[in-house]
Amino acid sequence: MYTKVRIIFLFFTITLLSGCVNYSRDSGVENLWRQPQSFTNGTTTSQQVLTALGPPSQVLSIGKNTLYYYLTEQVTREGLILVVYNETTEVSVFDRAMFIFDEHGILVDFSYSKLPDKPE
Amino acid sequence: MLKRPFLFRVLSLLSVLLTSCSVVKRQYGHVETIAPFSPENYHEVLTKMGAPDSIAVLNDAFIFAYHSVAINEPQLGLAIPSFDFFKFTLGSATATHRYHFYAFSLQGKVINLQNNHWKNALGESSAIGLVFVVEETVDLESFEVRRAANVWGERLLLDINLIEVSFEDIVLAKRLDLIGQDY
Repeated sequence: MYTKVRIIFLFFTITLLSGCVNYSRDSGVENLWRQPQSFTNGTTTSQQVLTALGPPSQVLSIGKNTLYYYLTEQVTREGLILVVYNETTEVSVFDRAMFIFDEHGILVDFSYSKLPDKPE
Repeated sequence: MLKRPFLFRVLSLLSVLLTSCSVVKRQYGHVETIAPFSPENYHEVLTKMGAPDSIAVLNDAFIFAYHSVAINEPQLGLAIPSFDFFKFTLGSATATHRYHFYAFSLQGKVINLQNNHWKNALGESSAIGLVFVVEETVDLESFEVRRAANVWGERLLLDINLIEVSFEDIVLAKRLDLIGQDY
């Protein structure tokens, strides 16, 4: 009798306990490069980029050129808890921007990371 | 042929013991899917692939690296007799990597390029946890480190006598120094 009650209790627990999990967090610099900006190769200066985007995450020297590297890490996690079947998916997106300047501080080239349409 | 009472007992036992099936998925980074192309300089690579994950500078060359990792961890949860709210979970994880590598001269011409994808097993393990919580059974701590780019300035504040690489060495690229994300 006791076993039957436990099995029935477990069945109801499994049936009732279901839910969703969701959280997200960001780290790194603010990805201001996703807002409308007007950077042009050959005319924009490093000072203008700094004014628009703030200090970069990293700076690197490539020969006579200087590279500014910006990174925002965005992590989202979604989960479906049905007790008998559960699925959680965590996606880390590294949103990046990169600017290369010549020795005079003039923009040579820049690029933003390609963002995924959906998890791979 | 199995007798019905036996089959019934086996099914009953399984229905009590098999608590759950779970799938834990993780995705780190994204590498754009593109048709094969033969770039002549880094400008073309930036246009096609976007900003790289990592950049390395050598004496007479620099490298762009694009890397993504997808982790899939299926799990099987078993009931623990006499502990209704707990389960014993068995799991294994596999990582799928996609990697693109482009090397350029300091003048920006392509020297070498390569792309690859591969899978590697991250191990099998087990855990005990609540029936309504998805526990990770495989240690993925190495994927959860703070990104190098986000601690770059912090590292430069370390005592110059204690750090491995000086600020000058990094900025002047006197050594192979990957910037961006490390996996």
